This record gives sequence, structure tokens and C-alpha cells, in this order.
Amino acid sequence: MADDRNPYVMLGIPFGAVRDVATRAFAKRARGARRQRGVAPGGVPLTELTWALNQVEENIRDPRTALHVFRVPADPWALEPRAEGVLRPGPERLSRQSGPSDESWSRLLDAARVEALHQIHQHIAAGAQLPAR
Amino acid sequence: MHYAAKEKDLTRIPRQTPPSAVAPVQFSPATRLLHVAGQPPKGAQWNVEWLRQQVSPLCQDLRALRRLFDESLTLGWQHILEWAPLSHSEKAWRTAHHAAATGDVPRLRTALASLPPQGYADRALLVTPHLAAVRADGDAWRPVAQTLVSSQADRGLEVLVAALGAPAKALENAARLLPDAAAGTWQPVLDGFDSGRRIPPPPKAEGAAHWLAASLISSDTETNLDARVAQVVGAGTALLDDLVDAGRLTGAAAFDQAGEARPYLQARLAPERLTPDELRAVGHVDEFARRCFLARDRATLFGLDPTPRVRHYQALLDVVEGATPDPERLDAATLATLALPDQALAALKAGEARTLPPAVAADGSLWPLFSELAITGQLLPDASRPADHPLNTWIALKRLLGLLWEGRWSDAVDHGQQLMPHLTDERMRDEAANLTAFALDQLGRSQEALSLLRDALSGLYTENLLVNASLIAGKVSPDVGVRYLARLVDEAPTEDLQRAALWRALDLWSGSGEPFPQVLIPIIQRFLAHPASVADYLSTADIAAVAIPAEMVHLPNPGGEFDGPYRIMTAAARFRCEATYLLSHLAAEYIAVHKQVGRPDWWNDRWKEWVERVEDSVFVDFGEALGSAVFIDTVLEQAPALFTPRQRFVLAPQAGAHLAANAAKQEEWLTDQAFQKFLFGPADAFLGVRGQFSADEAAYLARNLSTCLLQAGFRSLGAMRDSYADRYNTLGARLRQDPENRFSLLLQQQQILERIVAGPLVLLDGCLQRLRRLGSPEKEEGIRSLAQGVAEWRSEVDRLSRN
Repeated sequence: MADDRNPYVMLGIPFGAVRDVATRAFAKRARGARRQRGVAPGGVPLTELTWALNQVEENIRDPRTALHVFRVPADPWALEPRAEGVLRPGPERLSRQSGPSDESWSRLLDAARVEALHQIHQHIAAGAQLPAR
Repeated sequence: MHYAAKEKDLTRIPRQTPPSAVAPVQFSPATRLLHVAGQPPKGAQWNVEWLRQQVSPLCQDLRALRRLFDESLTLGWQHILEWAPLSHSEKAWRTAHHAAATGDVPRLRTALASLPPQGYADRALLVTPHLAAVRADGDAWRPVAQTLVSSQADRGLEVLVAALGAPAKALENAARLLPDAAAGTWQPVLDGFDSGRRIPPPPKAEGAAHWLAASLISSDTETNLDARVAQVVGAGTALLDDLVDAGRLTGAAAFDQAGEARPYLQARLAPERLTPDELRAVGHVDEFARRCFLARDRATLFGLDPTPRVRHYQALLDVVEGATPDPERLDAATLATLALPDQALAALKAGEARTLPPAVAADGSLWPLFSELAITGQLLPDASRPADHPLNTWIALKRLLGLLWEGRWSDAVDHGQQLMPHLTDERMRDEAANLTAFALDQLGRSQEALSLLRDALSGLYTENLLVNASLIAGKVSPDVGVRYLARLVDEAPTEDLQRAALWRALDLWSGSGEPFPQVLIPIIQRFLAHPASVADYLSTADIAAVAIPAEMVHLPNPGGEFDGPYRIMTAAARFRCEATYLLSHLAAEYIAVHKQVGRPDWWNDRWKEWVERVEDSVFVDFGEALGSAVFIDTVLEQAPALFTPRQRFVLAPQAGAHLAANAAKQEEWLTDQAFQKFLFGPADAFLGVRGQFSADEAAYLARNLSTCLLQAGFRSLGAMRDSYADRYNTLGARLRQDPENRFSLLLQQQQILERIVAGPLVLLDGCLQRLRRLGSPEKEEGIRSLAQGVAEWRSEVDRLSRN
């Protein structure tokens, strides 16, 4: 007979949460249960909460291989906003490390002119005609 | 060459006679004469000296002389060049001209240097085809080139500057050496270089990398150069920085083309893609600090050089961990933003607000601070924004989770079904489906839940989603569940999960009553061929040996520590699927493995199961459990210590009784040795240790031994008495028909009676003696009956013996 109870959902914690989280969640829900005549939020009796805590603390040794427990949520990433902001800062771009570019530009132009000169020399040579002998 | 003795004038060749092919025909007659004089045809009896002498008269003609000189330049006849009676300057001019035409630039330079300072106005034009070579050898050419100007040669100055001037001036002057139309095409280049803007690209890219880079950089400032990184990377860091600052290089740049500049360029444009080592190499500690902050790696973050940004992230981590924002270290914008959530949280908790203020809504990184309120429903989606706005979908998804944690399954289903159409992000949509499916399943609507999960599994999905689908599918139908689990085995990222999925699939199948799922066979075969541990191997093999014995039998032996487990599991599979493989074979294989590895737990556990199975099987009608009897016999013969004393006292006599009953059907009986092994030995041993058992256990064992002794005794008594009687009576019949051999026949009869007394009756007495010692009260009647039967037989034997 399959057991449909999900200890993580009963405790109100994400699937795979560690013991400490489960213990805190149990304490919080148990407080609520005592105020509600032994019934925790979601209509879970205190005895069931105890069972759920025991499951998380003792029974489910490796949640990754616990294939009898429905995973809620299945993809925690999907529940978190991905937008950048002050608490999730975007990449820090390196500031400019070089000085003014005038000298580099001048050097580049000189080198470019030399290459252009070579090509214009070839152009002249291609059309050159020798004078009469 | 045509020559005839009667012709006097050798300078004229008759038109009607074609020239001889002995000398190259393109040359002048003088050159040809000298040519054949130097290289007469083989076998020719020519007067070479005379031929040479004929050249001088020919050269009286100045045109012929010049032609001989020019052709000597081609042929390299230095002696003719020296001999030729031309002026020094004409020789230099003609040599320069020839060098210019043939591209012999060093000779051109030497010849030009030999020209007189004045005259020869076209001398500069000889240099124009060779400007590049002249520039390449500028030092040697400079004095010669200057004479082009001093001699007032036509275009002399342009040629000098075009060849040897500074690049800008050289370009300008070179352009003047071109015809007007061609010069026009170069004018934009000259203008571009002069202004530094919109430099046209080089006509030929080869050898013009700097020109191309300058062209790209100077092009329209709006032009994106992400795809041209390879062409501009050589321009130097400062110019690359200009392009970055101008937005002409972006994070989409082809960084892989940037060579050694890649880390720096990426640090400026896409630092998130750099490795920590690369960040360190370019000294970009700020990005490293950001990553430490995101990873909440306090130790590393606080060990970095304290740049302003590092201090900012240190302060930000303090805030995340509960500290008050530090205005000294945090940047102003962050400080202002961090002040926003406190007010909003207080308002929401007090019920004074139900939505986020715009400033907080604008910063997605702050939303998680409101996660708990979204889950509990205290924070509502912002109605002023569309339903598919990221803030609203995030709040709605969180609330869906909250509804599950509150156990409000129906509300969760409604909420999830309303939310899903607004989700455009696949991962969020899959999660919404997952959460809704859980609620549906809790309501008993597993089929609908599976349908949602099946849709979510199309496209990208997580391993968890597949686990959930297999879980729900298993409820809908074990067969479907097994298929999902098989998929999970295939896709699971870890061996642990693969194993868990396989065993769950096997669990699901074992309770289903369905035929073994074919989809699992290759998975099991894979597991058994490459086992992770002996425990894993046996867990899987235990099922395979039962579910797919035929496939199991053909699997290879993994060897090593798996050899023993493989052999006993294969034996179990063979026993299940091969008609000729008996329990005795199985026992023999177990014993062989035991002798090799001893009694490890995995062997012991399975051995115990087999022995218990045999024990269960023997309590049927005697003679019907021959297979089990042979198993027991094999153990008693090959490794009796594998039975506990109790097992021996139960199983050995049972095997003996079954074998005796079976033998009796063929009018045979057990040998003395068999009686000893199966019955007398165990009975005697039991009687020796009887006190070690509890009273009930001792009574049970005594009863079992007694039952088996009685069975073996009765069956043997009947078979033996009939068999001996047949033989005795046969001799009696012959005695009546064959009086001649009377003595011999009587002697044989007497021997039969003696054998009965010495054999069967002793054996049966042994049974009775042990039966009496066992003293099982329930068997007293049987013992009396057996004793009576034995006594009757003995009495008959006595009577016959006396006769």
C-alpha cells in the first residue's frame, strides 16, 4: 500500500531540506498546532507532523535516491527570480587600464601608410612605361 | 646564318634564303656571328677567328653596334660591353635601361650612378617600376636618387620622395606618379590617412593588417566590430579600449579571435566568462569579489586586496548576513536601494500594503526578501502590471507552493491552472505543472497529474521532474511507472540514483503481477555486466535470476570479487530455466564456491534460503521429493558441515526415507551405507546430543527420525522380503523340476536364508533398535508393527532353515 504522505510538504519545507530546517519547521508548525487543538496548518495533526519530522531526520537518509517521495519543488531554480540587482550584482567589468590612444593611433597610421605605400608602389609598377632607349 | 664564298657583302642576307638555325634567330647578325664563333656546331670545320673578324665591319654601322651592345647585356657578354666602341654615358644609359626592363635593381642603381650629372632627362622614369625595391634598399639608393633631382630629370623629385620619403609624403608623391584616373582612386586613401577618419580598406588585404585595422577603427563610429576582433586586436590596448568605451566592441565579440588580448578584452566586456586564474592574471579582483559575494564565500572575499569594489562586496555580504548597511563601504546607489525593503516588509506584514513598491519591484534581486510573504499570500501580484510580468509570475508561483504547504489541494489546482498559461519561461512552466500535479495526485486525480507531468517532460526537464513522473505513473499503472523509471535509470546523473530507480522499478513490477517489463532487461544486463559492488550485484541478480533467468545465464562473469556471486546466481538462474539442471547441480556449485570463498554473508544468506526451501519441500509423500533428497545427499557427501546438526537430523533421514520409498517402487532398497548415511548415522548422532535440544525440539527431531526410520524400514522390509522370496521360491520351483541338481539348489536356498539373516534382518533390527531408543511415543504402534513384520520374516527364515 503506497503512502501518499509527503513529509517535506507536511512540514512546509522544500524537498531535500536538511534536518535543521526540518526541525525549525516542525517547531513552528507544532506551535501553531497547539493553538489549533493539535492540528497544524494544512490540517495536519501533530502526530503526523512528528512522523514527518522523523522521516526527514531519520528515514530519508539520501533524498536524492528517495524515489518514493514527490519532489516539491522539483526545480528550486525556477522559484527564484534571476534578475540582477543590488543583491545579485551583474558582472564587474574591468575599467580601462590604458591611457590615451593618440600615440597608438599615430603608430598604427604610420604602419598603415607604409603598407599603403607598398600597394601604391605596386600599382605604379603595374602601369609604368620605360622611356625610349 | 647564311654564308657562301662568292658572296662578298656579309651584312646583307638574301631575302630568299632563310637564316640558319645554328644561332638564335632573334639576334642581330653580329651577335649571331659571335654566338656561333663561341659555340660552333659539332663537327663543323668553321674558321672561328675569321668569323669573329667579320663582326668589326658589321659594327661600323652604329645601329648594329648598339644592337650588339644591347644583346650583349642580355647575354652577359661582358667583354663585348667593354669592347663596344660607344661612349661611357651611352653604355651607362643602355645598361640602366636594360636593368630597369629586366628588374635588375642593383644594376639599375649602378648604371644610374654612372650617368653624367646632366642630361638623360628620362632617367627617373627608369626607377618608377621599382619604387618598392628602392625603398627597401633606401640607404644604398639615396645618393643615386638625389642625382635624379640634381640632374633635373623629369619627375625626379616625385620619384625621390615617393621612393624614400616619409610615409605620408611618399604616398602623396607616389600618387602623382600615377595617371590621373588611377591617382583619383588613391585620393580617398590619402585623405583618410591625413584626417584619420574613414580610411578606405586596402585593395589587397595581404600585407595590409595595420591598414585594415586603421580602416576599421576609423570607419563610422556606429559600426560594431564584434565580428572583426581578429582584424583590430593588433592595434594595441589603448585603441581596443577606445572601441570598448565607444560600444563598438561588446560582450558578443569574437573573443576567441583575440589571441593574447582575450583575457583583458573579456575582463572589460564579459568578465563572467573568465576563469578565476584568468581573472587573477588580468588583475581583475573586483569581479572575483563579486563571485565570492554570490557564493557567500566570506573567507576568500575578506582576504582580497581591499579595492573600493571589494570593500563594497564585503559590506554587502555583511548586510546579507544581517548587518546594518555600512555607508562607508557600500556604494551610494546600493545603499539607497537597500533602504527600500525594510519599509516595504513592515508595510506588508502590517497589512498596510499588499504589493511591492515600484522601487523594490524594479530590483529583482530584492524579491527573495519577500519570498515568505509571497508563499503565505501576504504579498499579491501587482494588478497594474500584466499577469505575465516576471514579478507577478514569481509571486504566483511562490503562492502555488504555499498552497501545497497549507494542504489546500483544490485551491492549488485552480491556482496552478490559472497561472500556467501566463508562464513563458519553460522552467517556471514545468515547475508550475509539477506543483499542480502534486495537488492533483493528492486529490486522487493521478491520471491528470501524470498528463501534466508528461507535458512538462517534453523539452528540457530536471531529473526531479522525471522522478515525480515515474512516481505518479507507478500509481496510474505499474507498467507505465516502470517505463518512466527505466528512463530515469538511463538519464540519472549518478549511479546511486540509477540503482535506486532500477530497484524501485523492480519493486513496482514485483507487486504488479504483470509480465516482466522488457524495457528493464537491457538495464539489468548492463548493471550485472558492470556491477558497482557485490551487494548491488546480488540485489539485482536475485531478481534477475527469478525474472529473467534465461538472460541471466548468458551474462558474462565480471570476475574478481564478483566471481562467486556470479556463479551462485547463475546456478540459481540455470536451475530455474534448464530442465536438466537439478538441485544437486545447484548444491554442487554452492559447495564449490564455498570452498573457494568460505561463508561470507552473501553466500550464507542465499545458502540458508535454499536449505529452507529444500526443508519445506521434503514434507510431502515419501518418494515424491527426490530432487530435494539428491540435494541433501550431495551436501552430505561433499560438505556435510554446511548442515547444522538440526538440519542434518531433519533432512538426512527425510532424504533417506524418500530414496527408500522410491527404491521400493522398483522392488529395491537402500544399501547398508545409505542406511548409515541417511538414517542410522543421524539417529545415533542425535541420540548422543539429544540433551542439547529443548524438549519440544528434541521430541520433534525424534519424531522425524522415527518417521523416516519406519518408512525406510517398512519400504525396505517389503521390498527385501518380496525380492528374497521370489529368488527362494524360484529355486524351489526348479527343485521340483530338476531333481538331478537338488543338492545344489538346496544349497543356494540355504545361502539365501543365511544372507537374509546376515543382511536385511540385521538392517531391520538396526532400525528397530534405534526406533526404540528414540522412543517417540507417537510411533509406538508403527514400531510394533515393524517389529512384528521383522519377527514374522525371521520366523519364516528359521522355519525354512530347519526344513
